[in-house]
Amino acid sequence: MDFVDIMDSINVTSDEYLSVADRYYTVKYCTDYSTEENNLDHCISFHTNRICLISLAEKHPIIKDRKQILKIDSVVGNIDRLENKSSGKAKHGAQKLNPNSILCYIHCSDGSSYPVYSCIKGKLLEINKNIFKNPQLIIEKPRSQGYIALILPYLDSFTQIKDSMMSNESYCK
Amino acid sequence: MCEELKNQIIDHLLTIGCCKYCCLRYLNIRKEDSYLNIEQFMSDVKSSEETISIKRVRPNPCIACLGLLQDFVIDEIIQNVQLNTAAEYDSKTFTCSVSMPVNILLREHLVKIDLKRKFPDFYKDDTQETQLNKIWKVVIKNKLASKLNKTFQNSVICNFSVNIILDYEDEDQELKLLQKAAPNHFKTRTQQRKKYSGEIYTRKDILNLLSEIKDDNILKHCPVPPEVPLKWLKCKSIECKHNPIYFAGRYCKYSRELSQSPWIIDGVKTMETSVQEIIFNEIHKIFGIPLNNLKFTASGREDCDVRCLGRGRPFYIEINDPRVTEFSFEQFRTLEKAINLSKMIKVQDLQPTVREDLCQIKKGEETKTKQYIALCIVEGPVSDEKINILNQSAPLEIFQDTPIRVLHRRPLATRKKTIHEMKASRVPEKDNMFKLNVVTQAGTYIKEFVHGDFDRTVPNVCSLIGMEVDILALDVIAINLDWPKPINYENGT
Repeated sequence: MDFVDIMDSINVTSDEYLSVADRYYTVKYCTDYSTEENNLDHCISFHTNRICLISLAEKHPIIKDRKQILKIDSVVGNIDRLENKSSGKAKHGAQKLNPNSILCYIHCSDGSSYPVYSCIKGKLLEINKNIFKNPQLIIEKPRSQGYIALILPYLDSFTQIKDSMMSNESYCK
Repeated sequence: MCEELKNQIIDHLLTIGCCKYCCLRYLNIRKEDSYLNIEQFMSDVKSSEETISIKRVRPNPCIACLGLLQDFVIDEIIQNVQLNTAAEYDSKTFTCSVSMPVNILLREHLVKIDLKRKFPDFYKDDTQETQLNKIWKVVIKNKLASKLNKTFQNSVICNFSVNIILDYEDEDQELKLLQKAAPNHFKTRTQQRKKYSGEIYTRKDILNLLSEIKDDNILKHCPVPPEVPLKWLKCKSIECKHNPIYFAGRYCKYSRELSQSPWIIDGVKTMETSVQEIIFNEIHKIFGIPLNNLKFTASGREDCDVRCLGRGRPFYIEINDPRVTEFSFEQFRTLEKAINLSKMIKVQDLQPTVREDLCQIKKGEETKTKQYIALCIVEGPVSDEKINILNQSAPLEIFQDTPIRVLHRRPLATRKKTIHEMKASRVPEKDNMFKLNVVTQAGTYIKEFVHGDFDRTVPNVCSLIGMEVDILALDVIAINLDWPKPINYENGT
């Protein structure tokens, strides 16, 4: 046999192996939409291929206070984010987003409502359909199954926007 | 056809400066023998005293073919040193073609106008003359054959071609007369030089023009019959080219830090080498084939951190413009041995293949099943019950959204894939790990089937056993495509 068993083909003794969410993504935070009274912090996970996964940050009241989510509204203005369609590898026809574009509204049982911002300039790949069936995923697994949207950033403003965001270390201080 | 009229036409053509070959062409004679034994044919033609005296002087370049069919140009081609390149090729046969300057089209047209005016009865049906390049082949093929020591073959079946490119010093000057006759036709080409990259006279365009322009219009600007040329065609260059040949084989990949093809991001290679480069370097070293002439195609690809084991992944290599086309069983084995010294890959079943078989590779990519072993890790100990669930799940249909990992370069779609077989087995001394052996439909992303890609692949291994599962390592065990045929290393077939 020219090759070793799969067990011996990698270094499995290392205990500190990373989850999928950590292995491929760099985490950044966007605090631009928060005010003294109203925290609207977002978490943006940048995949190594530059695709962005948008989720709520740890200090966002929905997560911090573990609120009960009643409803997620995907209609913004006259556009339904769930109707997003794209074709081809260039994602022609996808909804175009600015950092200020709203992805959806989250309505909670205590009567509070929160807009979720794109934070990134790019094309909407998809809104996570699973959070409509099971909204609590947003709180329980924000950076994996409970992500809110996937965005393909435009290249021109990509580095600038990414660098302007807060790193994991400085956010968690 | 009336012999008398035929003789008159030949007499006339010789008088205005046509070569003997072109005389026959304008009579629309197609029989090869007539051209090969042209002296005999011409002696049968009863000529008048006048034309005989013209025939005897040193021949001028033909007013129609500019010497293409005459000994002067034919000999220049045969003696051209660039023909020696052909000796580098091991092909036993050849075919040939000629690229002529465009003003020959005009000259042929002018001769035709002259003939139509002088012999309206014979040319009233717009009889086509025998094509110049066909007769050129007839005249030159035997001479080329003995020079190249190869047998002439029809271009449809021959893989080796010699293309002879001729030019003529006064080409543009002569075509300017035609431009005067039809200035509007050339307007766009002269004004938008960039678009046409400065080309004003092209073969196709001139042919179009000549097919529609009125004879009267040409007569006003061009001499009919055309003037006797002072210069001969010149041999500008000779190009030899062999159709591609192909090697087929299978490769195993033992390294988890090796991509299939060079992986270049922003002009920088991300890895030192690749399967393709290891194979190409040895082909270059052993057979002396330039790297630029090689092209690699495999039946799909694995990620750089995935091993490919078992009988390996089928691939083929296209070799462009090969000099040597015959390789022995032993030569392929030598090549395999040299490649396999790398230890990162192993190549086997190397063999020659033909163009018609290459579609097998695509078929394998799209329709054949693949077998994998995935080493999986779970957040806690895995119970026997969970292992049993996995062992009883297949066959299983899954819905896979284009993985985020490749979504930047692939369209977004949900694809239905089948997991044909699935078998989980425990790993000694590691109760939080298991091996998963799966047989899947082509095009299934295994890593995502295991970790679920944030539930964008459903069901997945996590959802089946209700635990967080991740993949530590992946091996391709089999690509179930029966091509290329296995090599019998013992008896040499």
